[in-house]
Amino acid sequence: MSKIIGFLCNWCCYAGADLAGVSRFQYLPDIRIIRMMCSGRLDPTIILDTFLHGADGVFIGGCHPGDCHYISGNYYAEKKIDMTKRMLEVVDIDPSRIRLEWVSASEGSRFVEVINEFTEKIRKLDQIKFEKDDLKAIILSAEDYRLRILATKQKDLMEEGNKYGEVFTMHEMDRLLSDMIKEDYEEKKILLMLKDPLSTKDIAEKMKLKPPRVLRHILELKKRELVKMHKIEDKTPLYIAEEYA
Amino acid sequence: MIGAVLIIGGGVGGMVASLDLANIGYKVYLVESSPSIGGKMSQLDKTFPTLDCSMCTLAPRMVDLSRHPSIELLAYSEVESVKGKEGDFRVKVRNKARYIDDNCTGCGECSEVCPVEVPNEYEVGCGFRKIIYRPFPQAVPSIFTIDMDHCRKCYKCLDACKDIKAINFSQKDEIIEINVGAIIDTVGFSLFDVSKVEEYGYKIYPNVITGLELERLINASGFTGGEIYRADNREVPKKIAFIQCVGSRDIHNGVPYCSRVCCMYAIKQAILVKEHHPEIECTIFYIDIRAFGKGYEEFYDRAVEEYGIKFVRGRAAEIYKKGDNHIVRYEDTISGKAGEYECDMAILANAILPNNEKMAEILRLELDEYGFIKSKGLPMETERKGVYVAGVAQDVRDITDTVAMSCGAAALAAGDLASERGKLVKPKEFPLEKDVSSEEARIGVFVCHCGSNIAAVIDTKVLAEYAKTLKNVVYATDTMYACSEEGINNIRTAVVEHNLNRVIVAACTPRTHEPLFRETIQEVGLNPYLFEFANIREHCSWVHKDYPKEANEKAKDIIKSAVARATLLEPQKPEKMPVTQKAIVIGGGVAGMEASYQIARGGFEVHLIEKKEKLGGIFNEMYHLFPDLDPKEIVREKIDKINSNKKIKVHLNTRLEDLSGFVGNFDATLSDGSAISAGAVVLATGGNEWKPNIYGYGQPNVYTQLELQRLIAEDKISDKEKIVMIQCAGSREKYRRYCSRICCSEAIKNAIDIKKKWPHTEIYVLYRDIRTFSHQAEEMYLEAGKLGVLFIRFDLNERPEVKDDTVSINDTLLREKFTIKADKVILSAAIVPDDEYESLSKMLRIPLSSDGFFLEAHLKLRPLDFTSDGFFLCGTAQSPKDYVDTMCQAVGVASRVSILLSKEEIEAEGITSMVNEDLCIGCGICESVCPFMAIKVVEKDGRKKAEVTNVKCKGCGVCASSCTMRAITMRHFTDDQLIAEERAILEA
Repeated sequence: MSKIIGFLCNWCCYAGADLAGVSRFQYLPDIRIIRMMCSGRLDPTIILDTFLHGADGVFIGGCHPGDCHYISGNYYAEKKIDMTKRMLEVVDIDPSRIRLEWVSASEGSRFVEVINEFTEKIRKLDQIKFEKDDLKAIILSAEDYRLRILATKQKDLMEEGNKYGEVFTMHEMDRLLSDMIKEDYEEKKILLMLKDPLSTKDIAEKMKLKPPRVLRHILELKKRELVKMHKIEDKTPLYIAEEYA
Repeated sequence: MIGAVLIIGGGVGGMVASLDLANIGYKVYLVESSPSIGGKMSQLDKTFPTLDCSMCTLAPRMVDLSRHPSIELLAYSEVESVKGKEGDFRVKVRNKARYIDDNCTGCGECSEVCPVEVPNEYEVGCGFRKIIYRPFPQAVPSIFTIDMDHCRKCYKCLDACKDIKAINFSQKDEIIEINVGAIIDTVGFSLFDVSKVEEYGYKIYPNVITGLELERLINASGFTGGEIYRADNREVPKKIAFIQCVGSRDIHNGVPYCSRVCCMYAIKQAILVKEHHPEIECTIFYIDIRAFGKGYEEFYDRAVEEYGIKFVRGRAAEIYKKGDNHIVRYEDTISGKAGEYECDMAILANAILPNNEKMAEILRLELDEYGFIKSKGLPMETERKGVYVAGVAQDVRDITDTVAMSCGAAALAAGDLASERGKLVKPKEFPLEKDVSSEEARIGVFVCHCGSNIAAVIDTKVLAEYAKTLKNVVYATDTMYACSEEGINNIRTAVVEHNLNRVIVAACTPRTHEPLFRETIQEVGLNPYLFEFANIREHCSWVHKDYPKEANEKAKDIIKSAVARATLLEPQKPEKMPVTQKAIVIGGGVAGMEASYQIARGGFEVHLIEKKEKLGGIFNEMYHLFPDLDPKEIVREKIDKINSNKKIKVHLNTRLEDLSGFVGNFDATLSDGSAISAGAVVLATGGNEWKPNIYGYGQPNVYTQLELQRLIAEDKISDKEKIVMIQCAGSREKYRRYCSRICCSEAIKNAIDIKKKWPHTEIYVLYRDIRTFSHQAEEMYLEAGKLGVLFIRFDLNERPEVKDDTVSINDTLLREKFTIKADKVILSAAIVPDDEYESLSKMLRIPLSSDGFFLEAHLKLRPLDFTSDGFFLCGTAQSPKDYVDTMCQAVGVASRVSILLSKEEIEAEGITSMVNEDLCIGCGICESVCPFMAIKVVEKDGRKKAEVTNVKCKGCGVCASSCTMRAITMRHFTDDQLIAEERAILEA
């Protein structure tokens, strides 16, 4: 048995799961269902939190495009889940452990097919492995306002452009997202590491990054008063997070 | 005039009428002769074609009804006399002695000690009950009854009830006098005594049983606990024969009419048998398969394709015994061979008979030749003003049609008494809400058996014990039916006794039962949002019976997460908002016109929107209506009614361009630029006759039935012509699965019209099954045969071909191929949804079903509602139907609409979003994602802050998940709650 959490919207997928029950369709018993009013309610931090607490897979079920009870909630769900998958990739977790599907209230049999298929897939995957701190860092990223804006505003940026009228192409958006997630994640990871005083070199070695890149992050964190210099040891400055200073 | 209504008969029809009228604002007296309401539907296992559990959909309504402050339930009572006239009837009701006083708690201990058992009527005489009994666990009212005819007066029950002292052997019948303004007769039906058909050996052979007996046999809460076995040796049968039309369509032994529901229930039962035991062979012996309702044909297809149920076209001649088994002797009319089918069980689909004699006499109503109540004008109207009829009392019908018609009868009664609305009722009042905000969570968990629906897979006792080990749980128990009156009482008592401030019911889906339990805890002073559901039936016991161990573990997780969530639940106070007491009706055909008129008659303004230049819809293209009505006259009458009612505003040549707002408060923009507001929207959008692209349509000699009506009216047919009608043109095909329901009667009516006008014409009707389900239609089918109309059956795999004037056909009954030189070929083209259905569906955000018509909230019990509040539907918008059924729905929808419009204000969602202004930076991302414009950035003390308009908020929570500062909390679905649920499941 694997541990799968299913977040289902009340109007379509949850009702589809109900119909599967009423129709007595049988499916694999791994999934545990949590009801929400809309798939668009789901915050990436919550999905990441389930992995942190031991989920092997997360299933999100919403209404078919155009059928959303709240008009556009499922559209936002799609963007947020796309972002969440990219975040999993950054911490070396297979993003296919997250599955978003549209299932209508009348698709009891489809619900069963999708759940069986996803469950079998998750069961076949190797044991999920991650460093807790990595996942905690990516959760901090998911809470960060910059990535939250990007998760929601993708459509606007690609259709209407930013404040300066620059419209992003799909390719540009893709690059922007990967870069921003990676950068932010590194920053958050460094912040978490700086519970204890560390040098740029220590961090660079642990994170397998080039020291100048680490330094850039530290300077940025210093500027935002999240990190400060702890002391200088053998001409090497050691930093610590403000919180722990 | 008296603002009260008497409903006679507490089956599903009477229940629906009672609830509707009470919710509109009338006092209701519901008289039921047996100890419990629920009627025949409560005895059914599942309902076709959705296979919904019958009791599961009915029980919550039974409970609602018994708890309704405006409904006085007079069960185990009979109407003795009715005096007076419309607006003011004086009725005498005999309340039969139960020998039990009202303080009975329904605990059942008396029944335990009662030593005598007699056959149980509820189990159709198959199971047993005690002398002191309740017919079934969910019975409403839940109090017991003593069957004095069989009582041996041992008085053991008195001892068992010594604490409560509810047993009262000196109780006498009581005569109650009530005063009402209108009466609705929903007495339902009885069943044909199949032992009259001696050749089937019912009551001689124990394994020959009726459909209703099988229904109890399959039912998990039935007398065998859902085990299907032979009555003689208790072995699982290997082959079951279903014999259709026993007493129906049988002028020698029974009645000439068709009982309408038997084909579908036999198919349903065969499917249920297959689901219990896939190895049992099921064979259905039929004359025609009449799968004419919404989703029925698709259900029939599934029976053949998915379940491998066999169908033999031919009436069974006799059943006789051979060894331990039975032989069904039959003639297969397709192969032409006589056959013998050896089976070990036979199910007889016995005819449905009217049950009107007594009430018709008391109410002075006229009966037709079969004993059904004669209607006058609308199907619900009787000869006597102020007395209405619904359901099978008027004609055989299924649950869907009975429900629609009962709503219709309610609407007519409500219309009569509109001036008295609300005068005799008081709104439901709840005790003052306890403030639990400073208390730690004290959770009670109730684990429901749901008969065996849950308990067969999940050990509910173990689960309740497990719940007790969870933090904050102070009380946990298992309960047979949490939703029964007894179950609800137990919850109320436990809340008080254990000072609970959160309640969890582990049972079925919140989508159907949450309102019931929310109200339950409200009645004992808890905020309704402190209730939480754990869905261990739909999401566990029903779907994991193959994995019982895992299912039990899963059920524990489900309860654990419900407890984690319940701990964090907070009381919510929904905002109230005013209702615009007006309706918009879209579609000016007969359905839309009648619906508009009835809504207006109930006292509400109506905007009727019709896209064409005149009212009447498809009736404007018709000349003669089945069975013998003049469509033009009907349209004229309805237009007159509408014109004479000042509350109706008709918008011709107009379309709905846009609709915003929400239930009770819609703003519509019309194509003429005008803006109107309304509280409810009704879709009466009708359907069209399909323009065929098959059977040579397009050739000058090929017409549709609608075109044929015109030819008949304009005398464009000559005597001696040969006319071939082809049925199911575009219906019951791979590309359009459904049956169009009206074409058989339509074709036969047209054939008779031609034959009467031009007796020398030759008419051939090429059909697959003749589906003349109403008794008038069945009569016409017989008449057509007598007039010389020839009926030729074809199969889909060898359908007729039309080439110029030649129709070639393979007659499956004569097993002969031949051609007919036809002067005219008439296609019974499918009834199809209007082109605009898809755009309307998108604009109004209401769903279509797979057949392209609109998808009602629940096929059986809510056929006139959408799941989205404030939207309603009637007539062909829901699926193809004839004039009678359309009128039942069109009038019925007025009742549904009136429930909403009769309130001056409705409560908003309790679940809305909330901004923490200390965190909000006024970025405005929430405003950009809210589809309802419910959240806006405004200046507050010189700073920009988001602000929520609660009545507009629908509670999706997209703003919360998008908020850059996580400053928005989605009430009742907070991040903390969702995280607590997920973590509770995942923790080891």
